[in-house]
Amino acid sequence: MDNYNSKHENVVLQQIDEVYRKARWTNQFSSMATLPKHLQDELNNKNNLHIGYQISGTPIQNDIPPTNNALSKMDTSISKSNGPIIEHSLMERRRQLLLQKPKWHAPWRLTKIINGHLGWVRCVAIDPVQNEWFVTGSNDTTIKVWDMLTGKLKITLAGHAMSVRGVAVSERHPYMFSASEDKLVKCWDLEKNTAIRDYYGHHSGVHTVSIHPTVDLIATAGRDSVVKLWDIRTKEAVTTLVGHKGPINKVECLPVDPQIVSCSTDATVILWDLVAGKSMKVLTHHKRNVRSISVHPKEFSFASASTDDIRSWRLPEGSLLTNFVSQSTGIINTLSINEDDVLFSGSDDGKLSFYDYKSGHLYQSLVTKPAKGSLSSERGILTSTFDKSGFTLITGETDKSIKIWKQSNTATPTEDPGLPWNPMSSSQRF
Amino acid sequence: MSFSSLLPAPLHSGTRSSQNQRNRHKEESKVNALLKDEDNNINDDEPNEIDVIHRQIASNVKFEDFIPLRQRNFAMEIPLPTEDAIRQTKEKTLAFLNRLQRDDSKSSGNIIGKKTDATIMKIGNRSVKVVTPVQDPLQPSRFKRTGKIYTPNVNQDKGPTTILHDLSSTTNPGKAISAEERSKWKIPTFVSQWKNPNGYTVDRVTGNGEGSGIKDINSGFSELSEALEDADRKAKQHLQEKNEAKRIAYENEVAEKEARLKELANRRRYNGSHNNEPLRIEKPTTPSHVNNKKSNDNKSNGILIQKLRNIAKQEGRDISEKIILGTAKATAVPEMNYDSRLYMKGAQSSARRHGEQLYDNPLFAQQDIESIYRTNYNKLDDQIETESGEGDIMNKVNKETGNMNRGPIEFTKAIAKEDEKNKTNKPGLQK
Repeated sequence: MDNYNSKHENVVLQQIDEVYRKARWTNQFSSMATLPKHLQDELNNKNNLHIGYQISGTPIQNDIPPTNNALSKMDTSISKSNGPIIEHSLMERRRQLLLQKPKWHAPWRLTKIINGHLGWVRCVAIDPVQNEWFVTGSNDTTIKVWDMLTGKLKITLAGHAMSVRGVAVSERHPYMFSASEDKLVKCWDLEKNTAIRDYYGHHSGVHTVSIHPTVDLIATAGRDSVVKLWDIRTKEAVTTLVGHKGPINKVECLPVDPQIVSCSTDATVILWDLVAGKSMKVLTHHKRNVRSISVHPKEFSFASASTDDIRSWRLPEGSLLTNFVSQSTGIINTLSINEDDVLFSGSDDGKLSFYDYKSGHLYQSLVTKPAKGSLSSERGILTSTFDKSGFTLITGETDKSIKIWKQSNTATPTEDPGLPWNPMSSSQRF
Repeated sequence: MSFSSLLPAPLHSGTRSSQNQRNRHKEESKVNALLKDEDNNINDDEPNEIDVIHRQIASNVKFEDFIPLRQRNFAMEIPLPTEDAIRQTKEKTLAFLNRLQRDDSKSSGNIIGKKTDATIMKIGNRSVKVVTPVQDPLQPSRFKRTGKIYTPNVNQDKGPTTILHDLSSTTNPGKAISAEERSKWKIPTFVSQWKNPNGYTVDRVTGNGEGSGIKDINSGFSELSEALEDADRKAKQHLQEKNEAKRIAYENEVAEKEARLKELANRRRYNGSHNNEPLRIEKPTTPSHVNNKKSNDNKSNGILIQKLRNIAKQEGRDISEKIILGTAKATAVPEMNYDSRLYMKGAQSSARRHGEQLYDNPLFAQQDIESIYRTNYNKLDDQIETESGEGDIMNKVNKETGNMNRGPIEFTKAIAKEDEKNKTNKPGLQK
């Protein structure tokens, strides 16, 4: 009797439990019973994998059919994504990054300060053929040519009415091109040391000039936020590339498509299709004014810099290669890359940062030495270039001086290991 | 409405809206195409177009696309473009440029180095032949510069001029800078210490606030303040005069009244002397006079009062009772008895008071402070002994404190009063 009672009670209890469970399920969890449509579709595509799991793994209870099915599917998909093929985990990817060692580079030091300009040194270019001289343009409207070895002034070229913002020396002609804020681009004959052509057509100051490596074209861009292509000989504007929404800071020409790359204050970098006359790709990763870009001399990629953010991009498609460890660099005015995979960035507060190009590792950071008699506010680095050998770096600064930096010959990896390799997780960002 | 310009139509011209509508229609049809399945029926299960877009993106983008490419392998090779690719691009670009030039020259516009045909235009009844001149492609620029071009003094012997801030290499390097000169070059704080690329300077004479910097203040300020001060002064003076005049007028009035009263009194006196016996009392209100009288005898006092009353009646003056009585009564000189100890105490306290001492003497000087709250057992014992015969301790305590019965106050009926009340309140005729 007693036994029967307890048995009966148990059955009742079970029934009550069942009812309670079902009620609770419908009230609380039924909204999660079905997956969103697109996820469900994805899971259906991977159905075979799920079946395999079902056979080998624990049998699935069929009490609450729709949910368990979907949820278990989701479980399997997640467990699969944790596998070694794609590292979804940020920490795991960072660990893999830390396992690799960046290349060692010798540290850099200042060797020479050249005074002579009366204004900010805004642009610098190297003699591309013989590496014997370099040329600088300044806010004092002049262009000066200097001897590379001795640092002596060779000649001063006057002709612009406002500050000279860009110079470029041609490899294939005896010409030099200069862009100025007086809206003019000038072509200088280096054999006669005179300006021979004016390229007239920009609506506002011209900030940058670049020479096409194969075709007789120059690309210029400036405050009117268009890139203009000029026929060198006829002085005609061949095409105008419209697309930037702010003043353009730098333009680079490449031998194959994209033949023009430009960066602008509207925080974008645009790769241009010259023939179609429109942009191939717009890189919108940067958050602020992209002040500089620089093309790698030995591989088909380039780097771009905005405030606290240097990135390198693979060409021709413009996919992100590396985030450099540049969190506290400040405003970056200039970038230069040499053949030895050293990327230099010069900041607006006079900070020089040297990176390993491939890994993005900041291995040396130093502050520029003030020129004698300059104010403490005059510390910005405005422009820079490596020479053809890559062992010398020339910078133009706001203290009106030109500084020459050289890589140490005697340094060894054990004595000068440089800054430690410790990338932050932000280097994983896209 | 139609517009010849290639620019977008004006905002409210109407054409734009229709175009927009058309565009929207086109977009909708696109979305519908995506939503439609094989049978060309719009699938109602699909929630919205956003979902469709999401799915499209999801199908095209993989997670690996969001990882920087060189993360896994620093040594990843990215070769430079091959010679072939470069050559092909060059050819393509050149072909494009040629085509561009051809198109340009064909569609007019470009006239450089090309002989164009003459066109004949008809203006009115005359025909004009229009010929564009041939331009030399290498001719110098026709655009004239307006800006002043800086030409440096290029002297190769002297070498490059050093930068401006280098003070050691100025024209007279031997001369040291005096403190005065240095102070002249001090940049005021309101000129930016950070960057001043255009070299703005501030007029040091007026900007520094030194010396004659104040000379150019507008004279209007001083004039205004002077005028205000003047007005204030005048107003004050006016007020003062007015008050003075008021005071004088009042005084005059009072004096006049007094004189009249005097005259009246004199006349009265002479008149009275003619009629009745002469007035003996010159100043009837003087208390000492009356006092003396009063002190002399009471009898004459009553007579005097009567006399005064009579005089007043005769003169027609209304002298109040009080005044008459006042003349009769002496003002009481208060006899005060002061406790001499108060004087003594005050003198003592003031004598020995200084900063730290707040009170005259200690509060418990006479008693021993130690045992204020201590039970004096001897005293208690004595008391108990003496009062034990009369009652217990509680009783005694109650007696001492005055509370004979503890507990709530009991109200008793005031019977006698009630009866009285009843009597008075009774309506009707009272006994």
